[in-house]
Amino acid sequence: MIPILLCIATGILTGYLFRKTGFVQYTGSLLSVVIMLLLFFLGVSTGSNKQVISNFSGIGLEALLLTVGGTLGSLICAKWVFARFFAGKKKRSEQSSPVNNLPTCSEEEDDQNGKQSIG
Amino acid sequence: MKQSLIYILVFAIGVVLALLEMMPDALLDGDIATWVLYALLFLVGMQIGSGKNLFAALRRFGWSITLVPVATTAGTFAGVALVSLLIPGRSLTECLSVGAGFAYYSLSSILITEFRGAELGTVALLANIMREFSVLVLAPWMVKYFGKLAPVSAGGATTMDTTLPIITRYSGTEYGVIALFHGMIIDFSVPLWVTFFLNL
Repeated sequence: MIPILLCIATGILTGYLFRKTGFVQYTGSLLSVVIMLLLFFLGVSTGSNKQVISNFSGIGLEALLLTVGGTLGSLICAKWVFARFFAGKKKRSEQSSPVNNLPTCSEEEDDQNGKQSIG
Repeated sequence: MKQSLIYILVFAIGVVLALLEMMPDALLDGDIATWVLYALLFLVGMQIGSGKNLFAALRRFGWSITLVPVATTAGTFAGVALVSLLIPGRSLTECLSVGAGFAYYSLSSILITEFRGAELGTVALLANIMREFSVLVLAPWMVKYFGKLAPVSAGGATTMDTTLPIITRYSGTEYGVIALFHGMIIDFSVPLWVTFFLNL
């Protein structure tokens, strides 16, 4: 855990100190090279692990279940935060008509209100 | 999208080469992977540190913007915790460490492989790739049924890069700033949460 935190922290510091120089622009492309290298290693360790290979469909199903659970959970929370803090607030600051709080308001109205309050 | 396909391809090449037993033993040594991992974390940090959009986004939207990553994190962990009941062979913390990848499949799968082995690492890789794909494919549906923040929360750590264009397209350009802010915060939290859950 400690070396991981240390690596990120020194990275952030380096990135911040050199944020105005040209070489931070290459971070992204360097990052994809390193990621590819590591995914290759991950592929190799997956392929040489007999247990994983013999149970690949089971692993796929587990992954699918975890994805559905995590994504749906975040969607529900996002819906609540949007309704409570984003959609409602903007409308109230724009115009205090109570009609806006009705669930029947159209998508287009949403759009307009959002853009107005930002622009 | 293109980049994720390349990543899957690289992973698949590794699997095939190992299955054909064409890998030299020196490369199977875990030390190299560990050092490359540290390089990766350093670069991730550099990217976060050199980004200038973080505070600009905060100023523009005020503090309610900070609730978006909180919603993503709380919702993901709650959903994953429920699903973990359906997976008999996995502990709650193992499931949570996979969920804590927040679609950042490269980093989370590598960390998990390092701490728990290739099996859970592969689960993490597949689960988090699926999460990114779900946003790329289902974003319009998410906006329709769960509001404009939905693809942001579902996109997890990827909302600052791969899913950003999809979000601005279906939620509106003003949500691009939220997506950037959200992506940076979640991005930063991935290694912390993953190592936290694996150390429990």
